[in-house]
Amino acid sequence: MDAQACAAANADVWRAKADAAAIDSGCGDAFVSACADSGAGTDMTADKLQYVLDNRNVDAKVVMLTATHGHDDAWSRVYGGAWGPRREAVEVGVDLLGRAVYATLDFDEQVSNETYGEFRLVYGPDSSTLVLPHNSAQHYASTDGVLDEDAVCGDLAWWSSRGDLAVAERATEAASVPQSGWAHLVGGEQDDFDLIETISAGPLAATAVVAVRVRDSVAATAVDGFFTAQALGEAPTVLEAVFSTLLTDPELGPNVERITP
Amino acid sequence: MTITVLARAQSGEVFFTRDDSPASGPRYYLHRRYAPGDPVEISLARVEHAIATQGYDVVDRDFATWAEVECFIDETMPRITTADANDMINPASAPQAIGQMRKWLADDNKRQLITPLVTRYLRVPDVQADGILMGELADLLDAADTRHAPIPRIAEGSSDRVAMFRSFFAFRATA
Repeated sequence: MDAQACAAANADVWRAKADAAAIDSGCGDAFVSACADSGAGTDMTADKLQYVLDNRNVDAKVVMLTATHGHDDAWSRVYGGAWGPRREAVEVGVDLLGRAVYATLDFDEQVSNETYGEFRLVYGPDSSTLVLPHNSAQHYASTDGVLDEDAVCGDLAWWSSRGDLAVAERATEAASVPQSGWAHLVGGEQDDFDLIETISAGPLAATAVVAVRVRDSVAATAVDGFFTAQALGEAPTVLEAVFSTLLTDPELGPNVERITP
Repeated sequence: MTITVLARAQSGEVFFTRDDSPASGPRYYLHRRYAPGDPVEISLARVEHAIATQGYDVVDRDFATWAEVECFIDETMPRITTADANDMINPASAPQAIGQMRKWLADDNKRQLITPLVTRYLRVPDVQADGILMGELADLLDAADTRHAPIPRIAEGSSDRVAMFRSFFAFRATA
């Protein structure tokens, strides 16, 4: 499967679907604009943020885990177990095995979903980033690792079509929820684990990170813990230390956004 | 009562437990170490999904009480070394530290931490070279007004205090 060719072929289709959905749903121009301006965001834990700070890039989960757990354990965690074969099938299908950096679409002020770490990194992916209307491993691959290539090819979108895809997929629901709910609707993981997913080829340079968001309550606790440990001559926890390093990082520090939900 | 720590993020900020005590059946919780509030009850499916997709460390250890769980997490929270932490005492983090210490002024328990932390910053040569930082740190020492402050107060003029700190630490360095 040539993923880029599939996405190219679908650009006009997503545009037509978006136009129809916007009219039928009455979701409004504000929603259409927000989708068109969306970024790509991914939640991460402090240990993975540590990797980003040390290596100056955002990389595939298996690459980041290899740094701390070694190659075999990392590959077992990502491509073993109940979920692994599905993920592997998708990545082989789009020719990004071991290199895929997953994210969701991102609206301003969106914070992490709490389950996958306290930090949300938002980056401006390059034009080769692919977008799918579903959680790829869950929706397009069977539990034994067989990919429905026709379905993937029929749904793939280019980054430049992300707004069209989001409107086509979510306009109906957007029309019935307040604007404050759009970020979760478009960029969040739904109760059935589905989401609009972006897939980029890692590694992405740290300079591509346009925001690192953390809840203000978490940031305040981390800063307090870090400096308390310092005053007592003790070692801070990883999150405390990473957050402190992040704030003083010349590239990423200015992009830290403390969000009060 | 049995509580099982199922899995955790390597850095420890998120972990999952199962509580087997309710008669209605086991309950599953998401714990966030750095967030206010109680653990959040979540479904088993979400726990399994999080473990499967995030590469979390599987723990699978049983405890009799929540206090034991807390103790286990505290003791096993990964920490960076004290030596690395010392390296992080740098001028770039001083503004954050000063902001934090100003908050500590209103807290009787934290107030006593101000002098040791200020002292650590004052030993950094690049901090000593920054008159504004030195003045702010000196103001904090004054405001903390702890019994341990070894330096006499100077009535007015932060520039005087900066000069005094410089001479004080120059003396310490050669003592």
